[in-house]
Amino acid sequence: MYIYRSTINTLVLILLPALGGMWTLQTGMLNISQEGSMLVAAFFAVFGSYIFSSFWMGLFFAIIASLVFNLIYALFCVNLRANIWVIGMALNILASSLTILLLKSIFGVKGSFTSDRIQQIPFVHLGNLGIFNGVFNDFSSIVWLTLILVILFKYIDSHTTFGLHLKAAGKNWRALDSAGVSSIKVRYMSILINAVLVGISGAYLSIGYLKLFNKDMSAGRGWIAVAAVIFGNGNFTWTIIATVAFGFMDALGISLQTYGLNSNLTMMFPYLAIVAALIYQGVKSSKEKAIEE
Amino acid sequence: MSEKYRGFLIVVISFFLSLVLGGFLIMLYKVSPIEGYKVMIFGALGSRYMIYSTLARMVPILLTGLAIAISFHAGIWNIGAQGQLYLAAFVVAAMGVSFHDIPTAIYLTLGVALGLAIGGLWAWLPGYLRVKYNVNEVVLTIMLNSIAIYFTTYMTNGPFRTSQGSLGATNVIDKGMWFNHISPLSNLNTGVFVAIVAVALIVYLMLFAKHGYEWKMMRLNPRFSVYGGVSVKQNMILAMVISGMLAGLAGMLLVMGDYHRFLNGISPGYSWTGMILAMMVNYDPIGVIITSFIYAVMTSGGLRMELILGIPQELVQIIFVASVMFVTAGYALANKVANRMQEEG
Repeated sequence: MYIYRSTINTLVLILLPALGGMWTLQTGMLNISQEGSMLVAAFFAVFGSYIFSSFWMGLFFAIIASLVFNLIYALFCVNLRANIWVIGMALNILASSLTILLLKSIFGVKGSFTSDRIQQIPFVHLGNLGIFNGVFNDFSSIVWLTLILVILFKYIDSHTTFGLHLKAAGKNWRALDSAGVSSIKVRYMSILINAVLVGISGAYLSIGYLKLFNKDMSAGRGWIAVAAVIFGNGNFTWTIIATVAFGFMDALGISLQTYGLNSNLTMMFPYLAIVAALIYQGVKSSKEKAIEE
Repeated sequence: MSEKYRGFLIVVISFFLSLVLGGFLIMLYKVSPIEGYKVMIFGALGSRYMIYSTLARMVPILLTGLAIAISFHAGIWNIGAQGQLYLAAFVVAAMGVSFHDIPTAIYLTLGVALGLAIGGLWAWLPGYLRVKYNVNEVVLTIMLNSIAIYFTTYMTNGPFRTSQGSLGATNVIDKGMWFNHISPLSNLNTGVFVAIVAVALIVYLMLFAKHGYEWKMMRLNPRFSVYGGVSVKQNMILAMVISGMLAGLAGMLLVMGDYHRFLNGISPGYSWTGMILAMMVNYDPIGVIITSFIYAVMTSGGLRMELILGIPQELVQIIFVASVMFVTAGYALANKVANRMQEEG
């Protein structure tokens, strides 16, 4: 039960950016600044929640910060056609230094900030469910929001014209443009939707279960989401499968610590799993290619 | 205007613009920009020891910067310099605490060789997988970073935990493996000569040797280079391995020269900094040498600026990220103008 609950809790963190990243990848833009966006959002969630003592303001600030961050990405990568790796990495580095700088300048602390004035995102208590208490009760409201979003994304992805436009923007943007739909607009839409999701995920990171901001607290979760997106290659089902698998490994690592395994060893679990998965995928697809030829 | 000249101009203007931006940021702390930059430069170059410290700071940044320049230059993205640095540094330290009574000359050579080998090997793995199975090397190297860092942290908390005071480090390595400090007040050590040799070799390799030309061609036009008889696959792996060796060298020098032991936070983001610098100058090795010196001056002075004026040292990093963005935008705009002129002319 413990592993189940902690899997759900870490899963949300990865699932939101993975969903958003899946759509930007469909339009042909792999977004690798997820780690940085998450970090900036986490900082501004704490900031907003602290200033106004309201988690709503925390969420609001987190989403705005993530939007600004992703607009820079969009401006460079969509309009100026800059290299996504250069801009993505630059933004990730920017996020790390900027949040440390703001921690020092606004709160006057070096590595981490917490306060009683910070309001947490509320949990959902469904009343007494008997044996299902552990299964459904007392998750963060973000968990339920994520569940709704997954269903919504599944529907939009495969049943609406917008879902088609996303794929067209990636596969053949000229055709999309000549059909009267601006591919640039579609790309911007996917990037902005992703920004909102990453913003929520960042807020969940800092004011979901905790009430604090640590420097570099995203700790590679954004990268795990990027790995899941690459593994899923724009396909909804595979992206979800990869995310759940990586999230589970992450949670498994954390819970094995309680059985006395060294935490630094167990922290390696999700990364080893991703390396294994990527190698498997690579070997498989190159074999398929060999057969085709 | 020749391409080289144009690139140089874009980089210089961008850097200047980001300094201006930095000036505005300094003003937010109610300090005049000139005063701020003055404190910064004095803090880095004001005395002999300050210059030594600045140079000591420059070495790992320069080496990781070149590591990244060489791989990106060849069109393969080694984001894993951090992991290669950590693993090489740790393995060298592990050797240094385990074996004793080996003659200094042999021990130093062994240490250097081991550092290079480990760094190269940890980079070869993703390079090979990329070339052979087309596995995305960026994600792979980032995952390998995390694995290397958690692994070394585990080792310093477990089997190689220090018995001499502060936690999160190995014991001090055998004296036979030390590169000695040049002056007691800074971390600059004789290992810097090894670094100079390595840098000279890399500059030669990238600018004057056949490989450098082939790498550039591979990045700019992979298909053409195949027709031209370049073995793209072997060259990519080679670039990756050399890149890893440089990162390994940086880590090894930090252990054998600067600290004489392995610490958990041995590289506070050197490889990320190296990456920004390499990107800023479009992977030109001479450019990396110049920018890493400027960066070392600014961070060294940034520490003093934080101490005296209360301006966080992270400001320096933000200035450099901004200049990467300006450079990127500059190239994009220059290309647009060039295209338009071509269409009209």
